[in-house]
Amino acid sequence: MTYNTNTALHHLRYQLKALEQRWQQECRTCGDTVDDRYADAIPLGIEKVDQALKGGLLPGALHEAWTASTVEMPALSGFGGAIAQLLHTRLKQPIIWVRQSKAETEAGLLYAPGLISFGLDPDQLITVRTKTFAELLAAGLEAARCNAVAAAVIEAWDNQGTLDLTAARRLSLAVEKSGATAIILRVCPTPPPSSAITRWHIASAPSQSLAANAPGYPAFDITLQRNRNGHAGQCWRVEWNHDDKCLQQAKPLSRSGISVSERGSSEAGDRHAVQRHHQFYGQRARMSG
Amino acid sequence: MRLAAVSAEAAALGLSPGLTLADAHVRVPQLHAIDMDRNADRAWLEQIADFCDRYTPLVAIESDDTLILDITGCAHLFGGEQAMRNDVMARLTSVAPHLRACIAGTPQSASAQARYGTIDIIAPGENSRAASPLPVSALGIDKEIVIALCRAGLKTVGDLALRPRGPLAARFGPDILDRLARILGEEDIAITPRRAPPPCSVERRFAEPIGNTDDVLGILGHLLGEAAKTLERRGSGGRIFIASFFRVDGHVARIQVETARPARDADAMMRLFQERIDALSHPLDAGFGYDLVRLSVPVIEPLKPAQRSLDGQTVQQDQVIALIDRLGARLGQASVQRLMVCDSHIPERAACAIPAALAPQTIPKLKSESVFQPVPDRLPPRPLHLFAQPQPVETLAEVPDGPPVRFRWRKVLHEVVKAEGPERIAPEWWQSLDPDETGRTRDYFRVEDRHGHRFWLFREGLYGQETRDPRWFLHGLFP
Repeated sequence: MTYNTNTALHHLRYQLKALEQRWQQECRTCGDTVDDRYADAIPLGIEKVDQALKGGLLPGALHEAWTASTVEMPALSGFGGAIAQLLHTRLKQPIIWVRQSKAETEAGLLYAPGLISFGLDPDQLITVRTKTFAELLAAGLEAARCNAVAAAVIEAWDNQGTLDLTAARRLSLAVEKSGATAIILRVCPTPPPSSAITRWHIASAPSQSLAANAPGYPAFDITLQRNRNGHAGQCWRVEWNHDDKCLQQAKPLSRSGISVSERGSSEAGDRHAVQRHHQFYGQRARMSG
Repeated sequence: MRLAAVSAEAAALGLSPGLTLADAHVRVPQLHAIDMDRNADRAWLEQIADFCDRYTPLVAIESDDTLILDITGCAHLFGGEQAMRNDVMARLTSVAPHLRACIAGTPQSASAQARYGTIDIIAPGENSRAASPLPVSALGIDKEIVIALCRAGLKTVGDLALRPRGPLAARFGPDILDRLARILGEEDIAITPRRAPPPCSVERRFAEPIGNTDDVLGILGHLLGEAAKTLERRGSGGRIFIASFFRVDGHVARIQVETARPARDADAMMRLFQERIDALSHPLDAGFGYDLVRLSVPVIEPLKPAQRSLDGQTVQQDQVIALIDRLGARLGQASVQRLMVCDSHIPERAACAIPAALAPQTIPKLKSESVFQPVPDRLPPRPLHLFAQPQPVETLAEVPDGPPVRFRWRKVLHEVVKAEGPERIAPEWWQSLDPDETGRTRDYFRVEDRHGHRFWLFREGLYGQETRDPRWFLHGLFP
């Protein structure tokens, strides 16, 4: 009896080993194992963006979005919230949002009815308020180490301390190990180098008017400035559809002078727009060069 | 100004509390008077009370200068009552040189003996004999009654005890009889301790003080293990854990961690303590060493061994709660929040944040079963960011109730191209008719400027009805 059980076990072990070896060989012939990771990528729902990202945003990685001025902050948190919601839809896990209490005087509190309007369930959100920047980093790191959260959103304001390369490296190592996804939202004039696998520049964009000239779905101009695993430099105008909880490509507006490339030149008086324009094209030039 | 307390030397010169300062200066010209600082006195007494926690969990502050320790069942741990009293005196005389201590059957008897008597320890049954030579003021009664009793020739507690009690009560009220009974040991009332005795408490005493903080924390780990066993036997878990580190010089460091739901796992609790200790503004200072470490669990709740579900959701929920605990231990429970919708139509009151640890039953519901389902058709859009204080803006708008055409916020001019509104929100007129108290009617507009920034603005007051010159505020930001 014992003999029989042992032989059966040996047989099974042998079969398992053979299967594992075959699988490894197949992986090697495929060329790279990166594609394997992309099996779980979270598609943003817009074909062109997902093509550039090779399928979507990678979970278990550090992503970064930034904007230069406070007035763009709602767009930034809108983008962060949208991504967190997409991750939440997939993973059914809560979202952690870490911010410094000083951010509340700059851009206001996260507002629960507003979250509902935006399509985020406040029950699924845990907010962490920190007093100092060091605490913000520590709390962000702690959240990134927990793989039971869909996303750890870390709001880093440049006037309060710099989330530098070292801090970003720590975050990426933590998420690589735990499998959680971290999103840094930066408000700073020029983002410092970072180890995030994607970096987005976010700007508010005019929305599609509803009836009676009311503002429509939140629209953003998102620029993929850095992409560790693909091409970067493209810019899209996207809308967050809070009814269906998905991102969608904004329809071209009938009004003139709104396309991204024209905005800078047509509104020479707007310093922000010009700066954005330069940064965008400067970044592009660097990429191609 | 009057004297509040006098030193032994001053008392020998005939000064007593209650004397006016001017009189005292006349009597003793070289008198050195210091302003009384009640808060400092109180803090100092609290510190001594903290120190006394090492003898018994039941320590009460009776008055500004008296501590009562209920040592029932504790004395043998220190080698008997005499040894315990000696230990108290030896440790405390350095901080409190005029300390007097007495052990007796009732708190009142002990406190009267310590103040007015000479006996150190009153044996059981000796209460009335020990109390008889004490002056009647030892009863703690009003001055007028003391004077009246003395005039009647009743100068000591013994004199009073011999009298028939009925007439005494008729003359001075029933209170004096209660006090007499307590001081004579005929009646015993329980003290009200500063902290309720914890349902679970474990401690470790060291023969020699330990100066290495890491070693002491190692001991704390052992204590957590012991507490876990006790809690497991009772089928409960702790919500609050307090570690007290008693230093030989009398200083006591208390470190408290709270958990979002009952817990007893020693390793997890040790991690929380480590987080808390790392985040301390004043790190643990061993000084001359610790000689006692105590872990108490003041709040316990039932904790049944839970069955793990196969899909792993329970595990994930546990991980989230553990994360909330870790963040709470580091940053303070109040910093880790869940946002709630409240039942109010005033925008700033429609939301609140509660500590995530306080609402564990609703925390991360893994399925979306919220009461507050997003209903965009019913709920007018609300901004993602709301300013706690609406920010005043300079606005150009149509009168009486048109949307703004352009407005200036934080020195930047925004030109409105799209607007929706007004959404009229009335003040809470049922609270008060005075508009200064309730605020004025607000007309909210959702506007978008040329660059696609979206704002939530409101005009305070109805033009022509509530105010002549309505002011405009920016209240929130839409993504």
